[in-house]
Amino acid sequence: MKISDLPTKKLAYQLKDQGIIINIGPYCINLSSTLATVAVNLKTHYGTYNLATKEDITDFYINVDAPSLSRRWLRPQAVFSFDGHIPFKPLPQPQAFAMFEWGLNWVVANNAHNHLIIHSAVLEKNGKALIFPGSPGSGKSTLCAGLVTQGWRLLSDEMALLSLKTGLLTPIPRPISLKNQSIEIIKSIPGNFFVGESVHDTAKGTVAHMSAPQNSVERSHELAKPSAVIFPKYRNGAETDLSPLSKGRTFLALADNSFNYHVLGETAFSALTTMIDQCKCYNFTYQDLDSAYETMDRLIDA
Amino acid sequence: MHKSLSQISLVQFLKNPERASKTFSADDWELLIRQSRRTNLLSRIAFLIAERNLFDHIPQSLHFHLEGANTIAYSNLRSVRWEVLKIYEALNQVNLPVVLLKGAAYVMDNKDAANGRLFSDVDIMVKKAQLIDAEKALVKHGWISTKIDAYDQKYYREWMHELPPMRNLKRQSELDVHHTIIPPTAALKPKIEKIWDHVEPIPDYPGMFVLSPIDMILHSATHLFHEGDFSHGLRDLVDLDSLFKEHSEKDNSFWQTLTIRAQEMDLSRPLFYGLRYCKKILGTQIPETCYKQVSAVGAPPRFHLYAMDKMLLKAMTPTYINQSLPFAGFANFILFVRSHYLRMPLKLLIPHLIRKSLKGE
Amino acid sequence: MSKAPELDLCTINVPVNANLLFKYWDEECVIYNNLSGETHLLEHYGAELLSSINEQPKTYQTLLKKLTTDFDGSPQAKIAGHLENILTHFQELNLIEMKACD
Repeated sequence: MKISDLPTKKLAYQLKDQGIIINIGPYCINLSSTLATVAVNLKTHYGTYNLATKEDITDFYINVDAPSLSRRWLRPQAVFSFDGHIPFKPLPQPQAFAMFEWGLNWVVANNAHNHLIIHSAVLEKNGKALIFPGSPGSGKSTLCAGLVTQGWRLLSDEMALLSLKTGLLTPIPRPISLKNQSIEIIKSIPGNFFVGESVHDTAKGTVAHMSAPQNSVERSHELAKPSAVIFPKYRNGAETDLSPLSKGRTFLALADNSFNYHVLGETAFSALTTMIDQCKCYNFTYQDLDSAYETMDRLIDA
Repeated sequence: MHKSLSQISLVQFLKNPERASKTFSADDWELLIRQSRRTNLLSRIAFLIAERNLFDHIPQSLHFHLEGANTIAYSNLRSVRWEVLKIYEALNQVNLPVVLLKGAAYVMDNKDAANGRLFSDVDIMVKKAQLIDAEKALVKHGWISTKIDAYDQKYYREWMHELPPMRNLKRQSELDVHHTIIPPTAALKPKIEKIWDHVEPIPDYPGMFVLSPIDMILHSATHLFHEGDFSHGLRDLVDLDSLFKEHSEKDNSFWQTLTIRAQEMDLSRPLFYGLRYCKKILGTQIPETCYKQVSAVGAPPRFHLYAMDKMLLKAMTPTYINQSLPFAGFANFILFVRSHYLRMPLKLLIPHLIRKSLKGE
Repeated sequence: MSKAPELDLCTINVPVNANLLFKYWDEECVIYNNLSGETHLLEHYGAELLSSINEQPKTYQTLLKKLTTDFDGSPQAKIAGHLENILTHFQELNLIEMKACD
């Protein structure tokens, strides 16, 4: 059963009551919330996701709610908690859904140590997965969303999960978080995809989520082979340029972008060297998305 | 209430991992993982499971939580060993003897308590007369004082038993430098020289020591029942339980020596609490004679003990998660106040707590 | 930090419990140090020098002789300076220890 199969009222009720258990990538997430905005956004962005069955065991319990303290009377706020632990300060309530997304990233990054977790977008086409590590402002999400509109499969907009057992990338498709100017850029692309309402004044500026394509969600269990690592850099007025980067430097940059390299130690070292051995590595400067699509298509055809 | 506590999956497992494993349902395992994660005990649980080969009892889909927790514990061990080496290098250059305390000591002394234990900082003790020299040597090697606020500086230096917490700039690791193991303003007055007389060397680290096994236990108990932070209460109790077990197995006269040493050090009260709550909560095997002897010297008045039982058992309970008892948060707060009361004369206590709340900490 | 006059009397070794992992790619090498948990990127020549110390402790003189052969034709003072830089760098990264010869 999918989330979209639940009538909105029933979804809201279950969220308030026991919470609902969603299959997101390899994880079963129990989410509970009394906030209407969470229910609405969940239906919008997670409609195509499966609800867990009776046999599934929940991995993480997450709650997004108004704080129990007096603060709520001043200005409505939302608090994220993970098994009763509150890792972040409350945010204004309109940001509740974005907070769920950020919080879930935090939960996975701190617990999924059967993977080397790298802060990057991961996309796949023709069995070849590309890894786009991103520092803020690199245009990683814009490029990722753009490629998704062109039919690439979304594994993640936020984290590469490199399985330590198989050396393959585990998909964890979720809504793509678009910021500021990139929201309008993506909205202007023709095609069958959905960008939700903009939320203003967040720590990252204006934020809107683009839903993960249904096809990517349905293929969540298909692991993918890493084939290239590409460090994107969006620059106004730049010519599209793909230039090789040494494997040693790629290694350091990926380790630096990893959430748990230091935790995994030598296991991470081996996994990452093996992965880089089989990957081409590049710096990529771009402004024009169409030309970026062409470059990526050529790369996987080569 | 004791009944409720003993029904908690985490407590059941800690008491007897084999028996719990045989009876746990998938839901119990899921709950165990949540409760132990919440109390910072997931890595310890994962260690116990790996050590006793209990993985077969656990649903496959939960294994990654435990394997991940083992990985975290392993990386914690590596970091602590590395920190200790760097501290050793800093202090050894200036010939300054140093005692490792708590977690770092368990690691370097190869105690069972180090297995699956997580560390947020390293604690060391130097002689009071050398405190400033130690600080200088550490600063020279990249540690800085983390409390810039003049009030906090004064609070730590004047009234607490330590320098303000230090942080290594390069590694961002925290270090607490003590010159005793109990606050000078506390009502109990153990003599610190007696502790230095019994410290034991760490092989390959000349000038670096750990407390004697007995003093290590007394310090662990003192720490648990005097520090304000009870969010690690259960974790600290697990340390103590492990130390009791390990040393009583190695040394036949252990319980007797412990009882005598506690009296000598004027630490029968915290030891009494340690024995009582290990026994009550974790079912630690403690000889009746020892418990009685320590109790005769160290037990508080009856009404005091009654209140302590109620608060402590509540505070030890993993909060928020199914099966939790109501108001555990409040009990935690009461214990925090009580603990400050033990550390400082009352007139000092009030301004400190007010400052804390004004700063929103 | 060891000064040059003492340096030439030194034995150089990788810390006792260290287990260094090397991975070479063309002119570069990444090295993982299991003691510190740190990873370093070195150029090929430096990595091979470290690797040889890792296999067996070396005296300063042995290393100097090796560099003199490898950089045949360079002035001796320049080579010694270069070696000192490399060793200081390795020491700062906790990859080697330098001890006075017995």
